[in-house]
Amino acid sequence: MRYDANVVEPLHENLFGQLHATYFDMFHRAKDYRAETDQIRGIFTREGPVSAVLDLGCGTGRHLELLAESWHEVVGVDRSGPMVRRARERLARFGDRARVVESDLFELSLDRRFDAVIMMFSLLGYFVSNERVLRALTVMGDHLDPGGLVVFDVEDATAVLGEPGPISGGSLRTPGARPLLTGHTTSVNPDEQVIEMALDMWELDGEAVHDQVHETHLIRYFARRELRLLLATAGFELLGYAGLAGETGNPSQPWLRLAWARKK
Amino acid sequence: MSTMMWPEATDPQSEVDQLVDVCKEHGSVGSVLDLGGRHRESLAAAGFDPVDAAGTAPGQTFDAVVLLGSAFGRQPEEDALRSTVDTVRHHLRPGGLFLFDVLDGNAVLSRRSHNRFTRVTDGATQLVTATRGSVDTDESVLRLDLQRWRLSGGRVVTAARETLLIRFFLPRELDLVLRINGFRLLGTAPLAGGEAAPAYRWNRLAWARAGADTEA
Repeated sequence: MRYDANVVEPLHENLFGQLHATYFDMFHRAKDYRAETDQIRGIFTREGPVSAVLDLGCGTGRHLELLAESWHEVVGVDRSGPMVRRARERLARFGDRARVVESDLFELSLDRRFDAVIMMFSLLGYFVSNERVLRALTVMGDHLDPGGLVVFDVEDATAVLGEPGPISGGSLRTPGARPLLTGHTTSVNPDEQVIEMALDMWELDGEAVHDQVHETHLIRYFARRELRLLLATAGFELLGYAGLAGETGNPSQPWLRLAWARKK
Repeated sequence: MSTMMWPEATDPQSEVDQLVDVCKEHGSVGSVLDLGGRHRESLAAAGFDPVDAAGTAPGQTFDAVVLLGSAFGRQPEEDALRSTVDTVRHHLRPGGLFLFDVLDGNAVLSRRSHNRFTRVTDGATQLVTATRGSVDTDESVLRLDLQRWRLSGGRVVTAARETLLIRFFLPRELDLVLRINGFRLLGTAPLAGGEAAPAYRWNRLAWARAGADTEA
């Protein structure tokens, strides 16, 4: 396997910059955050109690907003400045109950612990190598007391490999002041055990290109048993693994599974 | 390890050639312990000094240990796998090479059907095998229900059933399992040597070095 941190990290370093952050919520309009958050909250109720939640890779703060609405105290972390700014705007109405920190996951040091740590949007898979996946799980564990919960979603190997054909598409829309041309291609690379997604965006100003970005997302898929072993190695016990809730507005939704585990 | 109920690989020599190539690629490999025992003569013919498990002296270590026939994946629990790998390590010199075959998770999970039918003719005898396969995606185990018939002289001479449970591994999962057990995965390749055994087509040869941090 050639996709180690030296290959993956330069590709992932600048994902979700200004242009992508501007249109992120539009791209994920069909994502059923409410159903996902209800599913997460159900796990908190069954396995908790949970009152303080840390969201690593919180993006624009959609899950956090829904958790904060239902009494939870929430802290979000993201390394993209433009995403953090959007999350802060979204969560401002909750006052002290919601906070967003701009930080790389591996440099994170919050001087406190939480009842649960969540990591959504398949973020765990973006770390690809065993070493970095285990480090990410360790960071999650560092912010929990024994008995604390982690909840995250992953791309499921059985679903990914059972699906014929890649998911691709493109469109020209005018969601705001300027036309936006976007395209994405998705393919499965079994030798590297990743989904490779290429995303192109051009923001137009008449005939001129006003802004553009090309992103490559490498996302590891996992077998359930493999995930159980990774979790055990990082000091967690896998409690459950189920389809991620929500309507399948996103064509890759059937690939996603929600996993939850307890810190030993 | 169970005795192989099916014929050996249709081309055992190419399997040995592959083992020899990998050994040569990774430095000086003179002594080889063949834990399955099925390639001893071919390995000797290729210039190695092979020994099977019965022929080892106490404390004797080898440049390479070979474990084929999906034996690595026949341990359903992590603890059983650990003890198998401990045995391998016990017989390896520091930095020695471990060569084994595993069922490829990508191949298993990509297939719609795992049912197979094979007929092998050996003189006047025919060996017929019907395999029904099913996948336990929670445990990453391929279950193979085999029915075998030996036909000779216009009648069924023997009939038998066997069920095999073989764990499969995704590439990074194999890397993880080896790390946890003190080995570093160096490479994998499709297993050469035909496909007479039920799961052969989905097997890969893997090679790993004892001592997780022996090299960068």
